Amino acid sequence: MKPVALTLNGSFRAAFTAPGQNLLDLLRRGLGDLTPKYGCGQGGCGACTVLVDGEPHLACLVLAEAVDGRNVETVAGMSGPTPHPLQEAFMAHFAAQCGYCTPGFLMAAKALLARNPRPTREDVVEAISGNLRRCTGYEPIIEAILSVAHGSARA
Amino acid sequence: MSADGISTGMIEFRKERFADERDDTLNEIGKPTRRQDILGHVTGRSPFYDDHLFHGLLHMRCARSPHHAARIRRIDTTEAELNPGVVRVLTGRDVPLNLNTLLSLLDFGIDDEPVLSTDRVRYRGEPVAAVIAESEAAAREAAAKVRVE
Repeated sequence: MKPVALTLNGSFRAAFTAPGQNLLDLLRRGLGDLTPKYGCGQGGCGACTVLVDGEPHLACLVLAEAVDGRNVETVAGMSGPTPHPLQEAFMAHFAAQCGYCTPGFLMAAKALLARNPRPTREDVVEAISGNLRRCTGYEPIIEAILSVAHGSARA
Repeated sequence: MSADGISTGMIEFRKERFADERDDTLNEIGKPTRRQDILGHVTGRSPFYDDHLFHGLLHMRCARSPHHAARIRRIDTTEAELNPGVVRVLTGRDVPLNLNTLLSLLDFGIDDEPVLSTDRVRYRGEPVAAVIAESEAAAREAAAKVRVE
């Protein structure tokens, strides 16, 4: 067991990791943050997307010990007293059905808008290309992200 | 039959069935309505199956056939049982009625698929032994240690 200390959604957290434990397991089981989802466990679906120092990473493929000293963000830290504009937009545009892929999409979208506040439709498609959604299409999600980027979010 | 005929029929059926639950205001039609569970979805708080952290939860992983069709001579689980964290290793002999209930529930007619194979495997990936362990990693590790000839 090896200790890791990280900043999770602005709070200092520390935990012990077993050799080979991935970040997703550390977050979900070790630190009790259930917002990143376990989808495929092999980097194919994006349901476990979290931000490490602002960059989107697949938590199931990141070794837990690799985030020692890093800044990790999940959907749990996205909303304050009111939902984040992206969350509002996802609600307004019906961009979630069963909701399992939603945290991953929100993280990918947040990273995109942080590095490119005015993305084109192609930029959005590219940014969420690592995330799978099975319920319905990607259109409502693309529309939701674009509405935030262009300040027309119906909140 | 026209699509209208079908939908009218279904509405009539529902009227009868749920007469006491209907108020017939139908004031949702023609305008967007928010899903009632959407706030949980976008905040990651909607509970899914994997979000329940049961106390003392055990994990199962199967040792599966690498062959499409083969006879089983021997299944050796001793090494798997010695793996740390393993609670029990099950083979077909441990299953009282070793038949996959899915086929009989479907009323398929032929009910010949075992839960865990004992004599032969009929497809690649057919489960031969099931390892139950305290963690997923331990179950996975031990499942790889099941020796099948």
